[in-house]
Amino acid sequence: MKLIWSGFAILRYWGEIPMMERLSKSVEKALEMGAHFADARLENRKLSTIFVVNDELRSYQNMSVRGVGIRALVGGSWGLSSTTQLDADSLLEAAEMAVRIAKHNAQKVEKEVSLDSARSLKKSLGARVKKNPLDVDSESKLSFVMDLTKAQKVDDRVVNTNSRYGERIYNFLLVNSLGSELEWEEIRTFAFAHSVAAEGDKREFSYDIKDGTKGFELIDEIDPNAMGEKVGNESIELLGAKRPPNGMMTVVADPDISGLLAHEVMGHASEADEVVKERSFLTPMVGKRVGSDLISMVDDGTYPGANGMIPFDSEGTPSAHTSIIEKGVYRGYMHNLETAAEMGVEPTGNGRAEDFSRRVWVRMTNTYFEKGPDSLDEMIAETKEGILTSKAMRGMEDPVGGGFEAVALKGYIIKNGEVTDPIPSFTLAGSALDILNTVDMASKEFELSGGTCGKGDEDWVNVSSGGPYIRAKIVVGGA
Amino acid sequence: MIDLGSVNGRVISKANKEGVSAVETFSVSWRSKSAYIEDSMPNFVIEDKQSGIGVKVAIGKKVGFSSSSLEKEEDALAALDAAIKIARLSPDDAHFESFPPIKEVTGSVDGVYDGSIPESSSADLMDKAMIVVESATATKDMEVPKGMIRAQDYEFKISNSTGLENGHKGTILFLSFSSKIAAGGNSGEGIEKAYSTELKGIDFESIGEKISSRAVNTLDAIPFKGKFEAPAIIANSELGQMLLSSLGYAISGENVNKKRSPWIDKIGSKMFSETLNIMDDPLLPGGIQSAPIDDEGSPAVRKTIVEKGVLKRFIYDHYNAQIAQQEGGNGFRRGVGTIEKSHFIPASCSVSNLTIPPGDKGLDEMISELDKGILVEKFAAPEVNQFSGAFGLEVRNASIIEKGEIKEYVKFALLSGNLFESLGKVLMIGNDNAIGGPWMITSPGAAYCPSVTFEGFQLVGQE
Repeated sequence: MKLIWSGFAILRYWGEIPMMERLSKSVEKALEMGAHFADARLENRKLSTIFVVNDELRSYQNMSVRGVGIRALVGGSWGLSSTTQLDADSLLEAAEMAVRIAKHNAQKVEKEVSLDSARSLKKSLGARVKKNPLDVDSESKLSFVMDLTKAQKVDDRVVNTNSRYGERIYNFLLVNSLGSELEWEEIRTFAFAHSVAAEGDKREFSYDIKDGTKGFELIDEIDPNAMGEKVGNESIELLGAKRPPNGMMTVVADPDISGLLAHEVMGHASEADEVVKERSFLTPMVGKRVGSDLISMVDDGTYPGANGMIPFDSEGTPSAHTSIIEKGVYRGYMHNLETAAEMGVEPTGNGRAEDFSRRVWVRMTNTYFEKGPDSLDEMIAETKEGILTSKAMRGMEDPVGGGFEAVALKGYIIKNGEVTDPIPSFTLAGSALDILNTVDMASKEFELSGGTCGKGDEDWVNVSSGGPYIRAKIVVGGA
Repeated sequence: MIDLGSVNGRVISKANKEGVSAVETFSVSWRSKSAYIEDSMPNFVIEDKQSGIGVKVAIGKKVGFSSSSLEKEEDALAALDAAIKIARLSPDDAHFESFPPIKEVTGSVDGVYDGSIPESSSADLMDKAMIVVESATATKDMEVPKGMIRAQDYEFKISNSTGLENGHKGTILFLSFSSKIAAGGNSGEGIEKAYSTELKGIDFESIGEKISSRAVNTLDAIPFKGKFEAPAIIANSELGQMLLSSLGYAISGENVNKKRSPWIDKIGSKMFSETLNIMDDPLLPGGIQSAPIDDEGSPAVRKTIVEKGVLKRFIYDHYNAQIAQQEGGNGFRRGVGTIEKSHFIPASCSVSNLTIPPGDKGLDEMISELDKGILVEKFAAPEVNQFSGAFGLEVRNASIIEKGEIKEYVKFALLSGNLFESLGKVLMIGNDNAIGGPWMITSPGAAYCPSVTFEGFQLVGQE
């Protein structure tokens, strides 16, 4: 392992006055103007993607996003002013604006928020990756994507192949009025393959994605031929898939789907900003049973290499391992600075913003059920009639109602303890607590899948979710 | 703010000196104000000012793209340098011919720029947000745990080396609110999203009333058990999202060219009910995706997609139009709910405003004409399989209709069916057109649909 410091030099010395000094002065300005708490966060995000379709390069592009967001808290009212103009005057102007707009609403807000007891921290952390993507030549990246695409063409029925490589290098500087001065870096890479197979009027697809807080070593660890072939074959297999059944079924949910159950329902409802406004169905549940003994769930922002790993959240709190459910009993919530202060607990490093122009919410990092005592083979052998899910397409949160909805890419019918026919995309739904209380088996096999998560309609952050295979009763619907 | 026309000019001029074959530059500036409600009170306000640029270059048939935040002109030139570097590294794109040529822009569109939006402060927006809150909380025990309004005014300029220079100024208003009511150990939630190009396009009081009544209905909802097959009325905004995720994909020229579309050979085929007509209308007055030009600078033109149930055409951005030798005009990057990030990527093929002309029945009339039926006002996420049209969607606001009246509200159930098949089984078309946006508000493409009654769906519950 080596530390990578690719973006800090640029950030520290952007312009004539060192950036940390400019951020500090803007925070001081906010305090002078009457803010009770202020912070300033500079972000420099560099992204690069290569996208190949049907053996041809469709796009090779990079993106650079740079800006500062300054937050001010007055009473219980927040103001955020953000800008892509990074000179000292523009930042002071943004600080003034943040205070002015916070003050405007301060008298209308009945609650007072004090962050005075939060800890300050001075630290500088580079991304712990083995191979910085910036040190890898473009030819190697292109060659990987081309190989991934060619490998998908396993048969003439594969009519469309799509492959993508991406790298994201984020650098942050943060100063706050508690005295924190932080700089850190996050590096992520990903590879994505997607095949479409056709026969007559029927079209089906499959995909695979590998991602994480890793450098180019993540790509080096992938065999593009094996990954591509697998995706191509899966898309062909689905051409012969039968319609999924409808109704309440015994479901062996794979780590993708069990992860969505952890993330979408139990995770979003455990974000303390939903709890303090009593929008979460889990608000009164601490200490109560929410699932069978096999269910333990954590959010862990420190999980090495996982896509949601972060050294600090967007408020400068170090990430943490937070227990949400322990052996079926609900333990507690994830916090940012504000909700921790409001509930009199320590922040858990879950205050995250999509970027410098967006507000901080309480957000998940890597959220998963812990592994169980069974093997997948045992789970299938002990299922007389049911469905085995395979890969997820999407999920949707319902913190108020506790409803679960996830769409599986595909699945298999289980009959008399054996996996039989494949079935195409279908939806799983029901009350999350009803589902968790019916979990009677959980596997030793465990996986995390990366991706991004929105809160409501926007505010996307990098996360992962996962867990073991779990067996439960779930409503299945498709067509 | 930075002079976008001047920035584009400098990029084109430098690109010519560098010897590139073709260059296209899209620069954009916006001001954004947001007001957030929590616990029925003001909580958070944001004021944001940004500029950005996306530069695409071709060296022969080698194409590269780069984008950057725009603090000063040097950022634009750095983006050009990066795009040239990428193009030099790239293999040939055999299909690339040119960027769009200069064409006369004849269409005009009303109601896409509201001067009162740039004049509004975040405090003004908070006042509007509190109208929603007051209207919702007029119902006893109703709360508004969260809500937000964002108003943006933006300008973009597009130039390319054919001499094309076009631009557009617009405004976007986006809001999203949720209400909650609790009683007897149960809780009900009402959610509503709205988009408009004008402040007057949103009735804030009625948004409050809507989230309030939805929360009350959900509170009363009972877990649905078993299966129920009956005609289903799908509400306007939900149908719009279902169409964008399925029909929007199938008619994309990019997906047709890449053989991903399920309708590759279906032009001229009778696909749907005779009563169904679908247009792509970038000139729709006040349309969220409306402008006289698309985001490549090509003139925006109304197109008939489906006429009397027959598929008439696909839609194309310039790149895919050249491959298919069709008309372009559907190259977009502007998100429906926000202009942010529009410079991050090159324009791609998308619908503008997908429209179904209104029918002659009000929603109440459609309900009254059903002996047995299902009404879905809100799904968790109205997404449909883009290849098959199949779906199984969790209902969040739904009811069972019996003898022309709503009998009961239900929850924890899936509506399953096949939208492509059901578009051929349209029973009634409503007269209540409303907007439905895409899954992500940063994506282009909106739909303006009425509520429609279909045959062929099934409600599936627990047990």
